[in-house]
Amino acid sequence: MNSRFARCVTIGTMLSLTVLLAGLTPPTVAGFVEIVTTGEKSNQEASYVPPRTEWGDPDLRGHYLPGASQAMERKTNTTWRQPEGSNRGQGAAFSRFFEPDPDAPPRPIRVNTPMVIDPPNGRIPFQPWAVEQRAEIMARQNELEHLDPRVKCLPSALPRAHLPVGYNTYQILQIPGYVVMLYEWNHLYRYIPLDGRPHVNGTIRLGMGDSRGHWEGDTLVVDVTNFSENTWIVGHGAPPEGAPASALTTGHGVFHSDALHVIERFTMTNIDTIHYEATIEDPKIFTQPWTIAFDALRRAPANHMLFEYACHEGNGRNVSLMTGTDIQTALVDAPE
Amino acid sequence: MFVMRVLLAICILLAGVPAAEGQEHLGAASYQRVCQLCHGAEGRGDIAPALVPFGFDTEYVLAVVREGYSQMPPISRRELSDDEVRQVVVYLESLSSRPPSTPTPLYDGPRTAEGQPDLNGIWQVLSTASWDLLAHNARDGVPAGLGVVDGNEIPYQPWAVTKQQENYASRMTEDPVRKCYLPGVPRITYMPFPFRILQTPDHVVMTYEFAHTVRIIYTDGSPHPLPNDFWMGDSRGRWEEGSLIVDTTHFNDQTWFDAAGNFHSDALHVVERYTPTSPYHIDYEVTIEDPNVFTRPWTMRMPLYKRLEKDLQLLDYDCVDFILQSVATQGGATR
Repeated sequence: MNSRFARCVTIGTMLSLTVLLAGLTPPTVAGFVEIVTTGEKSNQEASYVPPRTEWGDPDLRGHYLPGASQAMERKTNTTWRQPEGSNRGQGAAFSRFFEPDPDAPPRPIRVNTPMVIDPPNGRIPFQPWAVEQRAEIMARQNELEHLDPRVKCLPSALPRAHLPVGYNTYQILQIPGYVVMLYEWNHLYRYIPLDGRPHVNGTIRLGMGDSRGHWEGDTLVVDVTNFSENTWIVGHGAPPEGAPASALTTGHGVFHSDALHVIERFTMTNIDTIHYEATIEDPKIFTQPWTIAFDALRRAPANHMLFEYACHEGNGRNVSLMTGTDIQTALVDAPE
Repeated sequence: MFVMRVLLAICILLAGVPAAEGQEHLGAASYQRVCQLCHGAEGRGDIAPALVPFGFDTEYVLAVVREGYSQMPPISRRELSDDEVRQVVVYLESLSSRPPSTPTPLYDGPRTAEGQPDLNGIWQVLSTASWDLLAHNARDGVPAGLGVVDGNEIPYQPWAVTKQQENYASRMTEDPVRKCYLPGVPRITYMPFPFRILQTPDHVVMTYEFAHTVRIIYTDGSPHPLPNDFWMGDSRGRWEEGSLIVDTTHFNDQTWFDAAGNFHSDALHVVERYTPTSPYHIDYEVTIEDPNVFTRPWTMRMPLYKRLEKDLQLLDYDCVDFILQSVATQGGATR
């Protein structure tokens, strides 16, 4: 409890920093262990039979920590080089604020293959115009309109909510007919009905999308549509300061249209690990569907709990520093 | 206290019957003759505040009765002698020490496999509590309401009365909900949005449509964690007969109870009681304690109604997005 509590205090008092860090790799702590992780499930892992709930579904319930650090995309042969003395992703710079936690569970080591397993070149298959658009978005991160939506405390969307960031943890609950996922970061949640009902009307737009699930063997397959358009699909880790979109491997700036369709596959590969695959379709933005795969969920210690992650409440100063725009004095109609 | 004990003993002797029942008290007749018109039957409050549960000192009551207080006129010794005032105090104390009047649940509805009342479903409050917990007339855009607080009084300390009035005057800019801050407890319950209760053997998770707010209520017997402060507090629950009791502490002092500026400090302690009374209704009772702001605990109550639309699901009210849109169209200017 103490170590978890320390983390909570850290998040609370360092909120401004953690928000700046949105999408960064987890801070370095002692206790790394060798965990072999690849995009593809081995035959042995695929044959693991998970425990069952009282009503016979595969039992994914529990608390989970994020997976290993891993790049989203394969490096390009871009000629961009980071200027001498610039910030190599704020992760290292900020990690000194985080006390190494001796009770922290061991972290998996960084995985050196990209999360994108299809197309095989490990790159997100943007249409040419969308490459330009992404470059502009990343070049204008100092403007509120283009700033990373997660830094603005908008919902993560999917699959971004499952990418490895050090301050997000997860809880999965199940009741007959539903899987429910809770995300510590920005208190997001989603209900996944398993009864085959259709998606909501296409007019309805949701930050985390509209999820419909079913079991294929022991794998939970979730079909997600009806996304709001103000989010990015992926983006984690820290882009190096000043890097153009063409040089990124972190997946930042990957926007989408109202046609976004995500198909997720959650497979328990051992009692402590859930392997995650997501196929992303958006024919308005990409030349083909593309798929990412990685071990997204590692079972947390028994005393883990999700703390409140109030995001927007402490975010005004950060946004103001990053964009020069004051959102603190803005008001909305009271929704009474 | 000794004096009251003696008086109580005398009461018993004089009455010659057990005095445990409030109506048997000598003080009952005086109360009904002088106090009841304003303070209601059995001290439960009417146009004047509730006096039960009773927590005043006898000398204080004597002083208030003789000198008056706020809207209450002074009452002369001819109308009510000192001894009669003391008898009234004993009477009110006896009413306060009665077991709480929570009735044995008449409704015994569906239960989960673990034998707990089944609260699963999508619920919503229908009241004007979100605008103002107390009785209020209609204002522009605000419907009138009878209020949800027992006795229609929030027992503020004197300084806090002033503070609440300031909050009310500046509510159009200072209400934390207008800044899209998490609304706190119990305000999140009676925001005009549906919320979903998800029950497992050791948790009750409440997810709210407003600002995708989540409360994870542990019902596994675990205590509150080390002190910290949260917008939504730290909630620990337990099942008692037909009810879910949720004890929430560790709040910050940044949230309001309603859009009328009713407020609390970080010493807030909220006890909620969720009692199903039919397949479609939950009796929702909330007791508020905050020794920094109030003179005594106070209680609000309202029904929760089950939403029955087929295939209903929670949608989004992403308040932050509206803030950003407001900035985009108005350049961040204050409304």
